Amino acid sequence: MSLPKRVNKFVIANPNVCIGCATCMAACYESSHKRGKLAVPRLVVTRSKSGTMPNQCRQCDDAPCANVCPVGALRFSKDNIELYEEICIGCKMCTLACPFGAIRAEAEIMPSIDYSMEPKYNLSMESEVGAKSIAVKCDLCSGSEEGPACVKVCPTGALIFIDSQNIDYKLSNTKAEVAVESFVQTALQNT
Amino acid sequence: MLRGIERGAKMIVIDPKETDMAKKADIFIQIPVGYNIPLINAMINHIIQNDLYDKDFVEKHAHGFEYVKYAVADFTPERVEKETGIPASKVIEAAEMYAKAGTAAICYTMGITQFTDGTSNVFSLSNLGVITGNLGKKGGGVNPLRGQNNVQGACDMAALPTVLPNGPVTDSAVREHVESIWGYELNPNPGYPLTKVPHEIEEGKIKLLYVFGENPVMSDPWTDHFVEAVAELETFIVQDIFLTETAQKADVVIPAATWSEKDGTFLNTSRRLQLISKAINPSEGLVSDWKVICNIAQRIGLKGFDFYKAEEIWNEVRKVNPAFFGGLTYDRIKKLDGISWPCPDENHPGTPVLYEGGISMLPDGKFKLVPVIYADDKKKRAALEQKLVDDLNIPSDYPVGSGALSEKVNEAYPCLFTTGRKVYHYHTGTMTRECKPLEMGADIMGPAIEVSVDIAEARDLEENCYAVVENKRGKIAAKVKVNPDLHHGTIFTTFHYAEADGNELCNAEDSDPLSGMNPLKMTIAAIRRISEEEFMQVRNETDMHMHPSEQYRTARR
Repeated sequence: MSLPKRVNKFVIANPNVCIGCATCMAACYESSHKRGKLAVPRLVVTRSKSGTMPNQCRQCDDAPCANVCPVGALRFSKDNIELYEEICIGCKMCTLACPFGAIRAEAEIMPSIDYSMEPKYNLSMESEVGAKSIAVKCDLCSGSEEGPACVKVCPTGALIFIDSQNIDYKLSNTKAEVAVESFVQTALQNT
Repeated sequence: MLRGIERGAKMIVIDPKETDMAKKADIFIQIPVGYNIPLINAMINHIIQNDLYDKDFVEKHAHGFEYVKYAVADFTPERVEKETGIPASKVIEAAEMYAKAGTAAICYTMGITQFTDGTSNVFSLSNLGVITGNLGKKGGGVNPLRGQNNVQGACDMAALPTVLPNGPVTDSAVREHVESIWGYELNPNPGYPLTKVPHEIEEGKIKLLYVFGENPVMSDPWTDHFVEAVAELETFIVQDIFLTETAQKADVVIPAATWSEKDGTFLNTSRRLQLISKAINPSEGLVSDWKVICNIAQRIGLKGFDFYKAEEIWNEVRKVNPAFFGGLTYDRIKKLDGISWPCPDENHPGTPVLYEGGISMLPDGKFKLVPVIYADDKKKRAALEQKLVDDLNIPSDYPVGSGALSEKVNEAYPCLFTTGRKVYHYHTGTMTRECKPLEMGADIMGPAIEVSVDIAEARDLEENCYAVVENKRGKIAAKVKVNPDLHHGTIFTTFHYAEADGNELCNAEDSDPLSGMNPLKMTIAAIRRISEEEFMQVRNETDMHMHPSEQYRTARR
């Protein structure tokens, strides 16, 4: 018996090639702004002790975020986890549930509030008034015909868009071959 | 570089910060800020002592091997280990990897040049390149990676106080050639380097300053000093595409077209001349920088500024320096997508690899190995150099280098302070901070003071708390980022943000005796945690200081 073949699409980075330039974040901002979504980057270039790569939603098949969302703003769809920004109440349950730190609560400046006391150059100061935040996560640039903008702009080809057609090949087969090869080599040496 | 690594090349990174590049390196050596010469000298010493140098190349193509051998004798990998804690074995491994590579390139940027011993740092690197025969071949060389697409071009066009586009200003043959084309007699004395400008203004020697395409209020060290100095100018003119922090202090501001709105050429770090054509027309009333300058010159009544298009200026450059640019016509660079100088005539293919065959550009075609020594006190540098000259009987016209720390940490200012860039912002952010995807997208962190783990622990600094960094020149306040990639005892920040500009604290008093460069990459400072109220207060003071125009502060909201 084989499992149904439908697997979520997702974008992932190759840390060996990523140079941490954050062009993907700029493209993500631009794409979400163009598509009328909350204009903030949905992937964050993360620097760790041993390397750098952008971190974003893995579009988990059995996604904890969609399971905990109390209002149905995060939903299982055909091939990814959809986020309905207009429904989100900013409860941050998904932020707590996500094992990858790939969903965070973010807010845009509210047009109805006078921010004149907090000029553009001082945005790092928190607003006295606060703002309604909503969940932010990679939506694979849905609505754009060109596919994920980050993958398109990456100057070193570090970001890869993986869909169910090539998922086996890209993620497991080559690694499995390397593992088997090294095991066989070791086994041969030991006999 | 990454493509090279993919093909199996090895990479050594030497940096006080474990950068993204360092994490991909085969060997990473984390030096304290400013510890360049002792480390490179130790590598050279190890290479010489173990006969790993290219004897043939040194013999045929270089002078001064004995000088360098003598100067580096005191520097050993063990000394590096004793002084910095970097294992001697690592220094040896790096030296051997470089020496045995066959072809190896050295790439460096401001972490080499922006010190009081910047020129000597470069001498050391070129010594390393010469003794291993790594000059004049493809994939080798000592390569300064320029921070802008046209730094090389600006230097070639003699935007420096000591040179004309075809050679040193002190050389009468050079001057006569230029005089024959320009039709004016030229002053044979070198001008003031940029770093001396604030001082010379205060001395009353400079009365008019005309700045274009630069934001020195933010990019020059010790902001307070610079701002006070320019206030004493009789006339301060700034020509820029945005109302920068500098422009807000000017008497006259002249707008100009942006890079995408003008025709011309760029000369990049590989000395390659490339043609650019405008993508859009400039807004009503705006013209290119060169046109603005020509207009002013014509109004003064100077002759020779009646250019109609950028190509005509370039053709004059070709006449002024035919040895480098003679063969670089617009038609050819367009057809070949850029040509590297020297290219003396129109049949010359250009020179993508300089010094081919080990032939230098000095009159005798040989390279000079420059002995570089290191002093424990900056005041002793000249005396040590003199001692070296006396010991070895070095001729008086032969260059000698020396280094020392420009400042040492003390009780009041116990931390080393260095500046750098974030990849998504460009310099003082004049352009990139106006770009929403970069400002709001790529740069979600904003201005931050990065501190090493030991500093954070000793001063109770947590991620995202507010802190103020100060020394005798000024203070900046921002959120804290505890960065485990930093060398211990080091504070790092950028100079992209007017609200927390690292250059405010930088040392403008000391300068490199040869180039005049200030130690922008190194000073000392103290850091302490502050409350949000104090943070707001420092921020507002800085804001008023940087943006004195009330009109501007209102408009940007």
